[in-house]
Amino acid sequence: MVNLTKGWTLLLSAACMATLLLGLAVVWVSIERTNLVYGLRKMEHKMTELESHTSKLLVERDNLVSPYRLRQLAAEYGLAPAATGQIRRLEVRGE
Amino acid sequence: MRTKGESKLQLRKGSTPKRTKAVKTKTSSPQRNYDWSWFRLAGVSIVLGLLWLALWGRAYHVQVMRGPKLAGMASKQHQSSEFVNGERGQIFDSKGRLLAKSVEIQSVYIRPHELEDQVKALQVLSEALGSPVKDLKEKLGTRSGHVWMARQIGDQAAAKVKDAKIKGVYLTTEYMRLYPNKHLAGQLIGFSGLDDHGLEGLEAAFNEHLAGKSAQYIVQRDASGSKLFLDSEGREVDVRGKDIRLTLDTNIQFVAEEALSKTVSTYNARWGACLVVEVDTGNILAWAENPPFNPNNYKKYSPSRWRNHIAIDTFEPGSSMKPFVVAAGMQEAVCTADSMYYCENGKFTVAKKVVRDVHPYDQLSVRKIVRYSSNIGAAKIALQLGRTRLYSYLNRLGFGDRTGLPLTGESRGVLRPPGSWEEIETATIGFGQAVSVTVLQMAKAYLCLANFGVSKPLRLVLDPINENQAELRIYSPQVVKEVLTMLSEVVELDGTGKRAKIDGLRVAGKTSTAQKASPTGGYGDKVVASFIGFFPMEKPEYLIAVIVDEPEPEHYGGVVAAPAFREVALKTLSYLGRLPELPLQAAEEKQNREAAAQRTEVESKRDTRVRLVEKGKVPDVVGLSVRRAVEVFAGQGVVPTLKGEGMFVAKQAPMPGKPWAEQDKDSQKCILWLSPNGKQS
Repeated sequence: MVNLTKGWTLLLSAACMATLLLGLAVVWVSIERTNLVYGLRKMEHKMTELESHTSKLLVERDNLVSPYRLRQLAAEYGLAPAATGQIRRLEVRGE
Repeated sequence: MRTKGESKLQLRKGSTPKRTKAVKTKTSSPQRNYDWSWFRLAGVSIVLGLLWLALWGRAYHVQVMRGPKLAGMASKQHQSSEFVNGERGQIFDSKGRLLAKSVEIQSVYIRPHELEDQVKALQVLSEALGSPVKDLKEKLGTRSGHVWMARQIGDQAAAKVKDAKIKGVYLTTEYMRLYPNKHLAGQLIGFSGLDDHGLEGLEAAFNEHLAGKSAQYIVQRDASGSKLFLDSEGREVDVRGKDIRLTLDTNIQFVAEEALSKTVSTYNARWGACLVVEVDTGNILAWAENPPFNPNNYKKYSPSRWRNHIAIDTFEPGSSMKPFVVAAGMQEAVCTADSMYYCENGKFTVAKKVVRDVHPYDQLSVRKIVRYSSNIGAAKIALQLGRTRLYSYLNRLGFGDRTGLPLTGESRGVLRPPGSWEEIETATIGFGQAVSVTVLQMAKAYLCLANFGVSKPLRLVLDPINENQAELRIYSPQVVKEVLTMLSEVVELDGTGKRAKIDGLRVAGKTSTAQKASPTGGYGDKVVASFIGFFPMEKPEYLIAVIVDEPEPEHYGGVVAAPAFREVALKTLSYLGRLPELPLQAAEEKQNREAAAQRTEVESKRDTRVRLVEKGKVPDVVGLSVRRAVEVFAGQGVVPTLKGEGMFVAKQAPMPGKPWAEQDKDSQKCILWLSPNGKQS
């Protein structure tokens, strides 16, 4: 009778301990999850900023290589479109 | 009977209570004593029980009865909704080069009731935005709780505003549409407004396709109100707008715009247009208009500037219509290429109206009617054809109907039903009057000739794919070949389109100098000059249409538009690496003529004898540049040895004019002495 009571007491104690530990674990996981979310939010903001910046750089690059600008630069350097008879074609023969 | 001091349960120290039998003693009053402890116990139990029940009842009330409502209130506290607007889709050319893109940009607004120090806020904003304080203060004059201070500001200005951290001043992200090539294809692409909604051109026509979508996400938020995306749930929806890819080629577009700009400014024209079409596919490679329009600054222009002339404006085509009438006549066996027509010496009366030619002609064959562009000849063919058949061909060619391109506001032009034609109209339609067309319709009709009689649809957009119209055979290949030959004679022989000729390539085309209707009735002195042609004539690959409205002082299509056609064609072929090759002698003569014209004053003082290469004899290269001299010798199969320093040949061996001997072709014996100025020192 005494042993039975002891067993139940131990079981009850173990269950309480387990419950406590599980509860702590749940709280810890939740806190970690929230911290991760904050970290993700910062990274998302950073990524959005970088994407926006990249987008503007792409537009700037296309503007720099636009035909009108290239024509101005070509005129500055004395270049012009090839006319008839100005193109020399070279044949590349295999060894 | 219990006596005082005795009780039922007697507790002695160290011993368990044992029941003692009650000893009856004689007493004076027989009273009974109740055990109240049980009642006390029961009472407490009842009270506790009731409290317990109350607790359970309260729990039931909170959890079950008010539970959903309270859960909703809790959700409102820790959840929030966020609206996300997708980015507008991009526009590309056929090679994937960017034509239009939306970028994120900041706008500044103020909540006036939250401002603590208005003066300081205005000062900071004035420095950041570059606007006077007075102007900013005026905007705050309204009672609105939300006041825009500046829309779509630069990143540096936004950073200054953000760093200032002024209460009541906020930044918000918007999208701004940018066109990196500025006014390239400006009228065609159109523009979108502040709210990223397409207003003109392809931006308007494809607004639904390009526009980003809006989505509402339910997200968690923390105590400070910051939104947290705990997972990707709810964000799987792609809110970004879709891209479109055009058939345009940016480089060919630029070439067309450049040539057009030169023509319009040289001839003080009201406007000009140039279309370049790939014959086999119907793909429009260039859609050029002048004066140009830059959609980045659309607010600075009047609506007439962004008007899409190619699709909207109609004009009487004039002589450009003649090839179709002639082809129809030949198809219906009304005439052949060699049929002769009397051209009335320049004046022909039809139903009391007079039809005139620019130059008086007597008898002309159908070939020459096209070559010399005789109105009277064309009118007679049209009259012979009859209004019903003539209408049928023109209608099937696409006149009087839209081309099917995905554009808003495209005009149908005017081609009245044949039942309403009078005799004079049948005659005048033969040379392109009494009918109104767009540039697109003309291009599509000439595309039919270029495809040997098969009418194909024009294409402007590669992606998304539009359902193409069916192809339709209108003329037989034999008839079209004859007509193409006539059109090539317009350019290659003594026709009106000589200025469109390209060495090494056969071009076919037709000039037109069409009178414009006068507002007061009849025809005025304003014209629309045009040249529409394609090359190579044998199997056309590219079609180019050049239209110039009201050129002055010259107004003939062959003078105004044909040179622009030639320039666009040459530069397009140069870009594609397909410039025509000339025979060596002809190429040399041509190059020498051009080089002679471009030489500087210093070079022109040098002996500039240009020596033709005679077969079997040693060429004379003295005075030529070393590069040129080596090329000439290489053409003869000889690689000469170079001696001395300089860029020009001062002396050569063997001597020029001497017949080649085999031993002379040895590089050791073939020597060029160089000097800086081509003269022997």
